Amino acid sequence: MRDISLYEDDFLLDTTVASSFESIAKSLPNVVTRGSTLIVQGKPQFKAAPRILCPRCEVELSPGTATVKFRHASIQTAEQSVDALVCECGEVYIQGQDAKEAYLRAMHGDPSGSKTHDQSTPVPKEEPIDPHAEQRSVTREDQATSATASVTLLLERWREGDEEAADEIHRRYSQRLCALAEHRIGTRLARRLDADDIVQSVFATFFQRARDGQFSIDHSASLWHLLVRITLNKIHRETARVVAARRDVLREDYPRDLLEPEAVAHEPDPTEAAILSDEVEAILARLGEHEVEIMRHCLEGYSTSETASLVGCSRWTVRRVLDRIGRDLKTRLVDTYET
Amino acid sequence: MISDFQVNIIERSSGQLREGVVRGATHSDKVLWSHWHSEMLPGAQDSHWDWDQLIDLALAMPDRFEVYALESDNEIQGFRMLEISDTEVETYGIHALRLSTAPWNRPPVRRYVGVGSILVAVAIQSSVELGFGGCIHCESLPGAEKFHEQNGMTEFGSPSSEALRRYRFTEEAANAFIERLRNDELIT
Repeated sequence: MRDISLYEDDFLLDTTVASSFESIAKSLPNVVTRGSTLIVQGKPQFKAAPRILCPRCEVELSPGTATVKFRHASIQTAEQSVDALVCECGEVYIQGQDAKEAYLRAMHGDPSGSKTHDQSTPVPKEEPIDPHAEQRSVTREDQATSATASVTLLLERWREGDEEAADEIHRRYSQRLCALAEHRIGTRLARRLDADDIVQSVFATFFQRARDGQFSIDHSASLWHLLVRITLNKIHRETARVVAARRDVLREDYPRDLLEPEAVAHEPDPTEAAILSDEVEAILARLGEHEVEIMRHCLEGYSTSETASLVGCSRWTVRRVLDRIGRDLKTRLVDTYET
Repeated sequence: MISDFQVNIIERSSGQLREGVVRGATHSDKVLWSHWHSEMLPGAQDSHWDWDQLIDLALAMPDRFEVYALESDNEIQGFRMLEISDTEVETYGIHALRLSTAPWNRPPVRRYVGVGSILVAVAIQSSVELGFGGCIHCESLPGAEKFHEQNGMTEFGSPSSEALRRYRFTEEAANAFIERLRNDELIT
């Protein structure tokens, strides 16, 4: 391979060639499909789940954890556990964002995710992911005020009494949570449940429980998942409460004794058997060809699955049709007895 | 784009039909993706699909792609993406690119049954409207091969560049599939 010293001859680059490539790229269609792969502006979107092979032994890597030791961090936080892709041969791959967050945890003394240093534990072989990372002059303030400030840092600042950090967390997630809550509440319950109220309640719960140390947040995705979970739980509870209140109102007027099982649960005498037979015939007369066929097979003793395959439908349909016929018959019998 | 149509899906717990509608996906449907994603079980073979971007793509290129949503019980129960114009579309019919059902409609929960089948029927319906007689083709994820075979699709050609097996619906098999869904009252 030819040895090229990068950057030294940058000034010699002729940008005309680059611009001509750019114009060719612009003339290409933005979206191309290659079988199941969609290529949007040069970026492939694969249909199949990505398979990452170990370059050493070409076996698919599997998700796992690795321990990274940061040599310049304090001894309590120097070892950090991070999510990684691992191979049986010993190769370990760690995503950049995970490595960065592990670095921040190690250097800023956040013990969450760090391993307690124990003499019996062998010192891991992994070197720091980015050997230059520790030389960067990144202050906590710079990190926390930037748009990409780590969630763990924001939470840390909030625990230390910085209310602006709480505002920042609220600002980042409240709009998305409101949209989610509005959709989940739907139009039917919108008059009774307010998405904004739900989201405010979600943040109150979150900060209360976070203050009590009930959550372990490693990165922004886990915080988002947690907030979504709390939101859905709250909506679920509130919806159940509203529906229960409605049901109570309905109960007062509902003629419950009309369909009490006792009304029809006794041995039929010959007259009743004749009535039943008439009612069954009346119901069959109203059924479609397809439903009669289902009924006939079931009366002949075929199972639900056998009937489904004979008729050419699913067993769900067989069950549903039988259920409907049963309900129809029950209603007609109750009406007959009452009149 | 085929016009909105009423469908029924089966609530697994009660076995009863629940009404739904199949319609074109909109920008407001995109927020659901993050919601779905948070509930997706690890190992789902479609968890890396970005429906935000797929919906954007279909809305930006309506003569090339279509995304449909099945809505029922005030929730999106599934998404379907189709490619309606391409060289292979002329040969094998509509290209069924992506199909995802909501996480709660998958094992072990499976709140509603029939969502995937209806979204397959959407592709067939689109194929009929565009003059391909119901013919569709797709590359199947490994976990969906059995589903496609049970529906009556047949394997054809060599696997795709992603090593996914390719399946197609002939006109006859597509009609039989639609008839089965009509018998089950999932579509009218």
